[in-house]
Amino acid sequence: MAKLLEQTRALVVDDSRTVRLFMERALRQLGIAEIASAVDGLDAINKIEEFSPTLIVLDVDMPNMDGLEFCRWLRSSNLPQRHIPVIVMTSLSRHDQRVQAISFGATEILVKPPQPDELLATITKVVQMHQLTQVLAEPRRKQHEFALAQGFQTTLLPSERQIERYEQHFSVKIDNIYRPSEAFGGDYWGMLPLDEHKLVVYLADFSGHGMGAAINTFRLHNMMAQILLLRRKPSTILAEINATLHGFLETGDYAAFMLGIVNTQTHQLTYAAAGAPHAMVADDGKTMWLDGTGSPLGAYLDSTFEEIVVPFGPHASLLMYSDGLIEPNAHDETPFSQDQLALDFREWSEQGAHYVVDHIKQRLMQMKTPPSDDLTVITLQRLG
Amino acid sequence: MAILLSQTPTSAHLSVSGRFTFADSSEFRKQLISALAGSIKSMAIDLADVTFMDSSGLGMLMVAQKECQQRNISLQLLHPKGDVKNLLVLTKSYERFSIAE
Repeated sequence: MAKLLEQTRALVVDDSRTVRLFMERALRQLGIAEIASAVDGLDAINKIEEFSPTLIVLDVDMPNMDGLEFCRWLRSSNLPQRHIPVIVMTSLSRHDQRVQAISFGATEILVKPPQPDELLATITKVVQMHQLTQVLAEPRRKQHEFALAQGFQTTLLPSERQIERYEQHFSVKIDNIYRPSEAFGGDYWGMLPLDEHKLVVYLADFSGHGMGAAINTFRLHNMMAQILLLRRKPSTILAEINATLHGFLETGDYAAFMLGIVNTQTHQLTYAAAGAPHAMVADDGKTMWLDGTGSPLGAYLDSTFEEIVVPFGPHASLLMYSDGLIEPNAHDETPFSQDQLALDFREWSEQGAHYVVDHIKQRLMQMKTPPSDDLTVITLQRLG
Repeated sequence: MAILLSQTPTSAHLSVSGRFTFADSSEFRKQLISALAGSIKSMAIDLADVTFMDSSGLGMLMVAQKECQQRNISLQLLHPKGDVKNLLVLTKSYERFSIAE
């Protein structure tokens, strides 16, 4: 990591000399040696050609050309630097600027003045992510780079420690299966607390598999935390992801997606879906489908999304999965038909949600050949 | 997957059969390019004999859709059945494509 920061060329753009000096000193302390600065957006445009930065730290309010305009200009330019990470600094009160910055292509947003550890964490993350995206996009890839990226993909998923923390806080039991069909997968899932009573769970499945799909999971991961900061309703969260993905996905690439917010106070689950397999809820001896119908994310800019609220009592269980679980593999073996899965889920969830994952694993082991598609299963059971 | 292209001066007809998946992307694109080469006004993609279509299969239909839109060619999907039809319903593709049963 230290080496990666040493090789970073940072451009600081701010009209205040005090802030520029502060940022330059902070970046130098992180181990970045090559630093240049610009006083506004126009100046930054000149500096890009001259200095060829690999990272930009950008203020918003500046004369001549402000940070948002600059960001938009950079992302739509033809420069080789158009994809480099841009960290935008805003003041705490300017919610509107943060929203705009994201839609103009900012990689991360920091509130001014950033704490040193926060700055380090953010810079490390964006630099690492950018390098990986580039490595993976290269036609000739080396073995160790594969291994690096493979390890990295699993770090995007919730860690065991995070899961334990959520389990304790929300009094739930969470289990999962994550199996890419190749070295990398196009599946990606995550969870995040929105407040004391609300836990969001989501599962994305990008079309295609292997490297191309994996790069898309990195990109989605990168935008997820920011979007969840700004949008709190499943329908608007999906709309935001749809618009962002549509901006960079090739035609024919998209993500099937489902996102649910478990509310332990109102005992409800609010969800929205975009062409994902129907999920299931078991509650009080009954099972219910969660309709996965919807326009896939990134496919069409004008898609809109509906959200549905269902009861999710103190002992309810949720099952989400990617289509690898119900699709036939190349040898025409299907792990589950959707109806069989519903019947089994009802039975297994009465024994406890983790039985569901165990049973599914057993079934997968009994198959003569493994699923041809990436496969992800998530179960969440409330423990009262 | 097997794919059969038949053409008239104004229309192209692509018949896809078997599994229509990620593995077939480049073959499908090749046939699509040949189909677009003339000055056709309409294209039909017949899915009657497709036994299984994955997300990449649907992705290829979206590629065909975009290519046709750009050239002012009308595109119609024909006879989706079973799982293929289910995927088109699940992804709200009936709102995006002209589909004949």
